[in-house]
Amino acid sequence: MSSDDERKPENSRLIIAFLISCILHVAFFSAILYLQYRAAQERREFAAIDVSLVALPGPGSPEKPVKDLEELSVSESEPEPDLEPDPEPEPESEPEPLPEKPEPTEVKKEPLKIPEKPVEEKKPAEKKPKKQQGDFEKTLERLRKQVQEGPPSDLYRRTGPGRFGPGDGDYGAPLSAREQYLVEVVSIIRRNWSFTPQLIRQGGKVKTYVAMTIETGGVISDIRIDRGSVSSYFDDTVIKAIEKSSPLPPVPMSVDNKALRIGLAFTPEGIE
Amino acid sequence: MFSSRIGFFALLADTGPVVFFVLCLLLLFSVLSWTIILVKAGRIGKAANESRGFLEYFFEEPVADKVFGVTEHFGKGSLAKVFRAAYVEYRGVGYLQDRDRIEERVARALRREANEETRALSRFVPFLATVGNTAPFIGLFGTVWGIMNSFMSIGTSQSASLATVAPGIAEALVATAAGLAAAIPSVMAYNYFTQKINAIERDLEDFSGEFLNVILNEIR
Repeated sequence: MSSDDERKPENSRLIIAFLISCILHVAFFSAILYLQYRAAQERREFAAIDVSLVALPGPGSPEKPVKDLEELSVSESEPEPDLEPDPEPEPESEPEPLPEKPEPTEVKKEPLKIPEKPVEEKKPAEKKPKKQQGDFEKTLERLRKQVQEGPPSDLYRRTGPGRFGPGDGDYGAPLSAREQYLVEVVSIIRRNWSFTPQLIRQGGKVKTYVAMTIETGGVISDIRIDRGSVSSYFDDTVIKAIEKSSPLPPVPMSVDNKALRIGLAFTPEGIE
Repeated sequence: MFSSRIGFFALLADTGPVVFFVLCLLLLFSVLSWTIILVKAGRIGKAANESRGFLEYFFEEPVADKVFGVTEHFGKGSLAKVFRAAYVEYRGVGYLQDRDRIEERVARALRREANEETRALSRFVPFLATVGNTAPFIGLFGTVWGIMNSFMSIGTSQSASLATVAPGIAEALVATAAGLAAAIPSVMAYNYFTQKINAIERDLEDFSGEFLNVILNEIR
């Protein structure tokens, strides 16, 4: 058998093997495709819910903490009365009948000893109302601080993303057109905002409240710091970021026909 | 097709031209190496099995003419092929009276056929070694290129968020995965075939000496 005769079947074997190899590769990729398709099908069983984390109430939202504080003040004061009444009735009920009965008949030594105990027990009872008063004072002080540290005007409560609209308190609620636009505005300003954290560590709370007007064309005007932070450097970076962000996208007709006045609170952690 | 963009094919669709070219090249390497694996697995397997069967018959049957008649049944066996070539040569030089010249001619025929058989068995096998050695590096090249582009896009978008970085790196890593997928079977097959071919080569050398002795005994 010559080498040419030998090579002919070998070549045909090569072609067949090449085809088998191609089929194997196609089968391999088809298997991957099928597995991914199945995985996608399984994923589809769950209802798709659009969740915007920006719509959730911010951590610095003033309304919620105040409520929480009120609840806390109540919850702090509530357990105390629960604890107090328990020991009080026991000494009162036991010693009172005892001194009455022995007085007319027996020696005076016994009533002298018994009243000593209630006297000792009354002392903490007298102190506890003072504690309650102290708690109330503390709560009041906290509330005063909250008011002082809170936003300087209603502008921030109304316009800050995540603090208003249907999304207030409802996790995953859809955003309104106004909220969507404000989220976009905040993201643009955040992109243009940069600062060196080491330069703003001067102690105290670093939070800058800035009010601005967005014209219908998207141009930002009338930028005003309602309440500056302890760091002037931080305030400057905020102003620069807002100026750099102008012009913003035009205000959609569905949001407002006229210029939009908004307020934003800037902290080193982000924009509220 | 998918509700999610996360997946192997989504990554392929998002790749750049260089990474795509690298992936196509690796796919071609993989197809070719598997073609060679399939062909050589059958060829070398048959050569080894039929050689073993022929060798058993050769040692059982002392008459060379009878052995030659049976070699038709071991057409794929390397030893049978070598025997046939050497026997034809031996019969062809029968007119020569010089024993040394006959031995020389037969030995040369044995060597020639053994080399031809080894060459035929080893054909395309070095390509497996090439794929095994180069495919990971080609894949790595694609990965480096993809990561380079990914970092460039980070610079352009001025954002180093996970959403900006992760897709580019994932796309790039597909090239390394493809390189390894092509290289691993190739290296394994290359080692296996080389070991088998070496064993057949040793058998051919041993058989050549044995066959020469048989021929020389017949001449005496």
